[in-house]
Amino acid sequence: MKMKALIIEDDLKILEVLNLGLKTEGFEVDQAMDGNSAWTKLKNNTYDIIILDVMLPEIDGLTLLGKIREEKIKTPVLILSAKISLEDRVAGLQLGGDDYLVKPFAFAELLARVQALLRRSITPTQPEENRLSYSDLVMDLEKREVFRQGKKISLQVKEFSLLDYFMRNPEKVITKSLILEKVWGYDFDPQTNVVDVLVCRLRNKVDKDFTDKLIQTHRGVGYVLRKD
Amino acid sequence: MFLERIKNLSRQVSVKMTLWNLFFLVLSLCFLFLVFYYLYAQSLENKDHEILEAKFKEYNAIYRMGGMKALNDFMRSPEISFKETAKFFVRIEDRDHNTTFFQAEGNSSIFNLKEIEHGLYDLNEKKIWYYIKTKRSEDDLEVLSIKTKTNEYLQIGKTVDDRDELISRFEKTFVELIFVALILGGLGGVFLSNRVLRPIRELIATLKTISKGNEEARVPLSGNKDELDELSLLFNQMLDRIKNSNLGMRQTLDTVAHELRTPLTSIRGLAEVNLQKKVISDQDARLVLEDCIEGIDEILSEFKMMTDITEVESGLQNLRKEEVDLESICQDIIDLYEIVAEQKEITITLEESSLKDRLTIFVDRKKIRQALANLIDNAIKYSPENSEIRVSYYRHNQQAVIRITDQGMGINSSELPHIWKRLYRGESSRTQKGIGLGLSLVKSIVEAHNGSVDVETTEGKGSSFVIRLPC
Repeated sequence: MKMKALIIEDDLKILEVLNLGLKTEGFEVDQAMDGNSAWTKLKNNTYDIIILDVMLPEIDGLTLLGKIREEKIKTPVLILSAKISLEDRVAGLQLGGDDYLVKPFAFAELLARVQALLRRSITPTQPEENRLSYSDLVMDLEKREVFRQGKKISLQVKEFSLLDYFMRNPEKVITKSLILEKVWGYDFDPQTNVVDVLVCRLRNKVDKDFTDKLIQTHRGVGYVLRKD
Repeated sequence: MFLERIKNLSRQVSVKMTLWNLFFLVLSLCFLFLVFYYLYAQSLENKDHEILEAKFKEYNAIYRMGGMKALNDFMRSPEISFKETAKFFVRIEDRDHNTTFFQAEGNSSIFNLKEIEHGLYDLNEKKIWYYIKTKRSEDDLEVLSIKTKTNEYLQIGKTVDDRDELISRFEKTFVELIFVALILGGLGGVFLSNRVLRPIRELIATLKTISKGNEEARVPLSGNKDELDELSLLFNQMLDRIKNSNLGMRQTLDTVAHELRTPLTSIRGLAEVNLQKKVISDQDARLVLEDCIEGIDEILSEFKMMTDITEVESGLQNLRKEEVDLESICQDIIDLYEIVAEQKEITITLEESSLKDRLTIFVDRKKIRQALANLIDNAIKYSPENSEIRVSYYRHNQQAVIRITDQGMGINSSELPHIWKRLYRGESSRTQKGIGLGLSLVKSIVEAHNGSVDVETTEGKGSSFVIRLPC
């Protein structure tokens, strides 16, 4: 079943990019360029995800968000904003936004967050598996051990949590800022190449001695766990 | 036109001040006049009473010696009327209030017996003073009436024209005085208010010049060291500060524009050159797009750093302060940079001595973490392979001191004063990535927390960056 997304954004170019991007990813996309028409669409349709820009003509994004939650529409909302101030972020999340993304952002990041929100809304409590696997790579979450082709690979804590994240999101592009957030709990860019270094180290252990390279770089975007 | 001018004039502070000044001046003069008038009139009346008492003694003596006739003669003697300006009369009344004797000095006819009789009534007191009003105020009478032992009444009166003249002269003088005071007060008020308001006018004039675009304009100082001079001085200082921060901002913007121009040109060029190709392979196109994104991301991260600094410096974003454990925050940073450091075989250690005592500070966790991250990042950049970076913290004089020491090349003393400046890059750091914003971000974050940051360095041996925060 196709996921249905509503993009509420007044900038035509960003709208186009999101529209194209989400459609390529298999979404059914609806769009609105101001608060009022968005509200009309929201009342007449049901969506699986709403992408909402804060700065909108007529009704601004945060007000609209308040209205959405007041009407008990529980669709997850990803807020887009050009402001980096923490107050806005807090206000957005308090009003019932589910996640917050500051412009400019990588589309891969938006996609990752959208998918995370969708997963959350479909299965609120994901049953914890004690075993993850992708291709010939197996991860035992209980013993915290990793095997490839039956060969044990010893990983350090950070390497383990990075691979854990990759294996939970196989074949999805993962941005650097997502890695920073998931592995170190940082939600700001410390302007360092620490992510590249960590990925490089993980590669050395997971891919170096094997012909099939699983961790691939998407230049300018991030990394992906994928078997060619 | 004229009305308009009057209207404008009345709105001016100096005019208001002058008018108020005059109002109070006149008010106080009137008050003074009333007081003096009362006192003066009182004293004139007292004087008349004294004169009448003296006259009574005189007449009494004459009466005793020669009876009514002698008194009559005395009063009518012509030379007496020239002696004084005021006229006197004597009247004697019997028990039944019939006039038995009435004679004015010098036989003056100005006294009207009827008016005198009419003005008096029952006399029970032994001695009583009267004031009898007549048709002409200068003919009003001051009268002394005395009950004799034989129950007769002796009345001596005098006209008050001498008194009246003095009073009217007093009034006239006063009116003249008010006129003079009004003129002098008006002039003084204009002068004073002009003098007082001059610095404010100059302030306004300066503001107008500045709003026309002349940023160099300053308010002239009078040198009086009074409040208004202080106002001008503070205003000038404020203008200087604004000018400097404007200048700083402009310079930064210039440099940033310059720094961004180069990567932007290369990105644009790359895209353009490839677009001009008649055919472009998918692989090439992908490569070009990837290059573009990388270039843009680089610009964005520099841009973000810039906005971070301005945000902290301008105080636009409030600090979200919370209790932060120094160990946890240092450990966080070390945790983050450990793997980068390991690449250069650098170890980052948190000194054991610091771990003994728990030390918490009340700060914006994210911002302080960002500052520490920048310092560690720098330390790693400028440390040689196989070296050590030590992090320690301790309490000293009500301050939490965080020290990050590397074994790098140290900082040249000629560069030392400049390292905190925005966009400054030392000779040795030209090869490094970035546009020299890291340390100024650290400085602005720490200073926003009312702290300070310093560096102790020995060239060739390493540097210690020391952050001091209130705790």
